[in-house]
Amino acid sequence: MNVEIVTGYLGAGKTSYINRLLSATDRSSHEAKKQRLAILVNDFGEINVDKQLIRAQKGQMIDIAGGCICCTYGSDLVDGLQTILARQNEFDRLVIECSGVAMPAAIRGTVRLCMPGASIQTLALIHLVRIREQLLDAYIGDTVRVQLQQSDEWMGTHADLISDDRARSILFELGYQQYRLDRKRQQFVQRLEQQDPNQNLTHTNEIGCFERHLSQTGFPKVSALKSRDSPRWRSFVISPSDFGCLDVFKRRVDRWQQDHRDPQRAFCPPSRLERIKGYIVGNDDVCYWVDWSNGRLEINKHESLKPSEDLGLVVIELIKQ
Amino acid sequence: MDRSNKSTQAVAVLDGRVLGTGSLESMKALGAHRIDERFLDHVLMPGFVEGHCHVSEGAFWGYAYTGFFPRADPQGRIWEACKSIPAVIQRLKQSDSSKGQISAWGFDPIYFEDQCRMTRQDLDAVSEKCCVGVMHASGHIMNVNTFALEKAGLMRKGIEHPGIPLDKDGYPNGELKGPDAMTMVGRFVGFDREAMAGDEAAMWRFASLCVRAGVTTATDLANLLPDDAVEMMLRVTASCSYPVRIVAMRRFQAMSPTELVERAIELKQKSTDQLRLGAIKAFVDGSIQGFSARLRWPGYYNGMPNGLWYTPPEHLTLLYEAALSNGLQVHTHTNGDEAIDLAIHCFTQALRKQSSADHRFVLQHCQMGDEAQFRKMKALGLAVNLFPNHHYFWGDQHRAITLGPQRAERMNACASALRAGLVMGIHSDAPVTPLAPLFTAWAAVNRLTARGVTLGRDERISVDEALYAITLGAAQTLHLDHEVGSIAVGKRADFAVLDHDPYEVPPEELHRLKVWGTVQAGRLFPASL
Repeated sequence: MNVEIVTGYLGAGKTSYINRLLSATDRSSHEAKKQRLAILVNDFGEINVDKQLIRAQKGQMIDIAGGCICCTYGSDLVDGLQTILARQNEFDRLVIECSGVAMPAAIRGTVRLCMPGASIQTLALIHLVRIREQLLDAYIGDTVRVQLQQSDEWMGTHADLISDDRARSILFELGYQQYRLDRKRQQFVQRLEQQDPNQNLTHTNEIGCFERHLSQTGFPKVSALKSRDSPRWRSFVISPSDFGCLDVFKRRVDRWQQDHRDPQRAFCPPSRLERIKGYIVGNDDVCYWVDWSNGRLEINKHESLKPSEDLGLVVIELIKQ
Repeated sequence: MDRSNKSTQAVAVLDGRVLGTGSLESMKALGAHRIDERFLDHVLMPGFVEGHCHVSEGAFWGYAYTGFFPRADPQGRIWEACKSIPAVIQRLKQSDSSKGQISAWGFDPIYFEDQCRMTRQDLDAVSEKCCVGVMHASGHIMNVNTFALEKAGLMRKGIEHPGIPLDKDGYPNGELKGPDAMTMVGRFVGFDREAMAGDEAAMWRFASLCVRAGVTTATDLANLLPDDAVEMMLRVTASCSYPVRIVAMRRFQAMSPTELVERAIELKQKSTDQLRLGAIKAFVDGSIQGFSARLRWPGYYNGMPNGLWYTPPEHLTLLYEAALSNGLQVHTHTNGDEAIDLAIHCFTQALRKQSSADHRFVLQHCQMGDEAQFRKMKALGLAVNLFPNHHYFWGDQHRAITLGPQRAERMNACASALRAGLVMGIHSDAPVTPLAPLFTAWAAVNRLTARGVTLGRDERISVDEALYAITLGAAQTLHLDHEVGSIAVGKRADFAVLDHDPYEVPPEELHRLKVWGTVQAGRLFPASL
């Protein structure tokens, strides 16, 4: 079974997202695309109506008895999962809606325990207007940050409240910060590994390409969700070492433009490259600022910047509906 | 014992209430009477009020006790301490296995000298054909045998879960940490939710514990209170031989704040004299020893990451606001100082929208509360119920591991809370620690740890203050101080009957005072029965 864990602080749009999934699977004309969804919902949500908001058919939804499903009431999550397991022939996909303060990694651990072999994806929904305020909040800032860190994929919501550019900037900033954090952690792990002579070193500096990146799940993928039927954006953060030099980068961009498919998520609609911006290290070991949009590539030399693993590129693509 | 009338020679009782206090002579004018001299050699105190405990202690006593400290069961039998794994195994071997399972609770290996861990092989020695499960004292960890793991489908390789440590062969070693890992096996070893939710037998066992401890009013602080449980509790507490007034609170779970308030209003209407309903319990953070409490800077002494929020602040504010506007009381679980800050913050916001006099919302545990927080709580009309038993059972660990020496000393700062003028109760959180208000009072007066260290000399309180906290103080936190908590005309005839005067024994001996039993609403309940 495919399991999707949907996390995000209050108001991020978890319920809307689930409703959208439900109606999308209901409406699909292709029999093959009709997925049968099971939903585990954390009952005490937003003001009071999560359950009523979700337009599930009878038997499709199972309440987790409220609270934070990752800690005190983890027993309720186990009960919910076991109920689903007992009826697993009826469903293709399970969506778990977390409470606003739940930690997705803990929930993932519980799912993995109850459903060995399930493929699990964690999606964090980000309220594009409120996220900055939430991250800076003295009480819940760290909780929101951990929710983002523990997710495989991000989706910006309420994108219709702000301009496209602003939405992209916010995601860029979040993605970039996250990427730097991940990179730091990776370096730390490597240092630890290097102390063990039996451990094979992973080669971080080998020349990679976009495709390799797409097939890895190391970085959260980012997208923005507007009101119904509006475009969905998705973005990736890419390390400069993954394409080595400016020439390789240019060739990759050309190729991607011509023929881009998402190899990782077969059920995703095809996408169109929208924008790439960030820093890259040239053959001359100097940093360049690159900004690609609508087929136009701008490159500016930045000699003051030192090449380092912290630099990166954000790629934003538009998913065609 | 009443503040305006510190002691009395005799008390007159009519219809379960106090008719008069004073000298025998002064009360003879009250009318026809019969003089009862049974307690001539005893000391009557107001019946003790346990402001934070759980009726599930009664459910646990359906199983074998395997704790590090001796503990009295509902029949008054003292279960000797289990100070090593062989001692635990020995006790389990003597336990009832007729239901195909052997269950025990209270296991507390942190005090074992050799720091050894129990494994499934240890428990296989108890039985290979029964499911064996041992719950730790913290309630957060459980040990099981191989057969129980097999039943739950966990006896396999390749499990990757932080709550399921593996042995050198790659199989679970039998230790299960955290609710999700425990739930998978819990149902096979008697620790499923239904068993722990309690039944009539558990209610009666709990009542016996109360009588032995001198408790006449006790809380059941975090019940989900579904209709059938409420009916059962109404039925049991209505029995003419049920000796305790139970204050049961609906836990904030599985409902939105507004739904919860509606449910609480519904419950409140079902209240009887012996079963009080309508109050609400909310959770802000977890526990300090489980590293799930939320701490302010500088965080945990051993560098563990900060704990977890159990309720989003917005929901807490909504709950407070809705409860205030409906005249319902909310008790909020907070342990870490950051959680206390958040509760105060949310409550301030709610109070701004919905002003209310004498709401007396209570912060429960509030273990890391400091002076500034107590002053703020006083200004907002909040009350506090502190947890001095922690010093004795886990103070050494708090000092060495979780909080370090300085903050461990200011935990459960009873003296500061009283100085700030707060309404204050002290509690046991039974079954987490034993239900025994005199022990809790002793812990607040002496602040000794199990290893004999005095933790926080300046936060010790006097015997008089501690006795206030287990009677009138606790009654105030429950909005019951006009009915119980002191011996005064018109109040319930609820007494703890002691063999000696607590003011005359040395303060360090307070917990050794013998309890004869209780008088509740004028009815006699000797502990010896």
